[in-house]
Amino acid sequence: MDEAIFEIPLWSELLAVGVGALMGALFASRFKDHHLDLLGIAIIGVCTGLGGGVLRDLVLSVPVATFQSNWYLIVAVAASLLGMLLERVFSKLNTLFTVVDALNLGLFAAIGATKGIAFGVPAVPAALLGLLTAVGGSILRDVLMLTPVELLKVGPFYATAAIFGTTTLVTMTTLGLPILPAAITCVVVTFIARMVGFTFGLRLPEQRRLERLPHPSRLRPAKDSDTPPV
Amino acid sequence: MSAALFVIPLWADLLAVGIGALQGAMFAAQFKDRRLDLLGVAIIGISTGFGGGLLRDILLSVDLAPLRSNWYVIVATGAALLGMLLERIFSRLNPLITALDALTIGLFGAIGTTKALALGVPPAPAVFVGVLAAVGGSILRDLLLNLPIALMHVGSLYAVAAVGGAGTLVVLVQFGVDISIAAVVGVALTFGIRVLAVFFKWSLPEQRRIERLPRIPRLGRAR
Repeated sequence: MDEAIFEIPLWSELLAVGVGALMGALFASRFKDHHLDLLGIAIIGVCTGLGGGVLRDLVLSVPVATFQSNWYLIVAVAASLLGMLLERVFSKLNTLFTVVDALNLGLFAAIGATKGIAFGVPAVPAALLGLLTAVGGSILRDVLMLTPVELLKVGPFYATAAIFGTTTLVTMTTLGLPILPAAITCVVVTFIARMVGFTFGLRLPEQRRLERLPHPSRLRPAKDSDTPPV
Repeated sequence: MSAALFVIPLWADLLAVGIGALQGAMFAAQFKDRRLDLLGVAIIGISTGFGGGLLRDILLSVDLAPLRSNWYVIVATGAALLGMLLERIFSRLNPLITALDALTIGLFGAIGTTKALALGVPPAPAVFVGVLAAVGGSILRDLLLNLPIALMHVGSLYAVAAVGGAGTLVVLVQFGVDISIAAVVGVALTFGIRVLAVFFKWSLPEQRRIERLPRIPRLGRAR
């Protein structure tokens, strides 16, 4: 490893996992027609909280970090049950949770990208790895619940915000800046992008195709009667 | 390695894989609206037979054990096709199949948990890996068949039985009990919980939220 890993203290990693798990359980609890039992909620919460990190470590082919300590699972399960029980309270704190979730997104993205860099992954894949860590949990959650993967649909910036963040991070490290400021910038950029996008409903354009492709006949010498291709 | 691996003989491992695959094929066969072809049956059989084992080895970052011998795929495919063909007979043996399935979950759970412990994984994640090994096959099966994941919805204590068994196993090991004994206890517990749950129709409470939050009296105002 040629760069120091962005070592974050255990408590903040657990906080990120806990918030992720709580958000996942809240999301799952809202689906009244699914009738999930306690275990189902716990599973969803655990997957949302830990999923990103597990996917990141599997892709890097390293031992899964979240399995090296009891705390991750304990926190994830507890946060899921808490989220389920207190759904009424939390649903009124919607804005607060969007804010916290945006911070979480940036945090996970930074952890993922910097771990990738520390393991020698080049800049572009490292940014992608950061993205995977940030949103992997939500993809897993949607797959397990058989709901359409929210990430892929048109909607306010989520993954895009994470992309902004990780891209900034790898650009900064490629330019030789130390890892810690780059990581902090990633968190900040992701947060701002997410909150701005959420507040103003910014989103990526919907998929589109070219309506009029150049027709071979138009490549012949122009005549007066030809209309220019659009 | 801190704990000796609970090494079970290949025939027992294959028996578990076979029963799992048989189960999977029978499960798939009951759906009239999603008919599988022969390859589909084989795939479902493989995923229920050693999907859990594959998931376990992936998470533990070790070589994939089911892929190290020809027998796993042969047994899983064979059992699946057998289950498909003989569905009528087997569905009459339902109690036997349920009991054998409970035993399978127990065995896979014990194998998964002990393997994790042997690789130095702490107790809580070891239980997680063990449970995933036990029920991973059924999750994969439901995903492949595009069904809501049976495990997560209100129903008989399938995964809970696995959690109970795996949890008891790690607790016993923490107290210094010999791994083989702990594993046997774990298997028996999982088997027992599952069978009793089916018999007495137990299930976990459905998700619930606190409807009425406790009222906190306002300060400075007489009530």
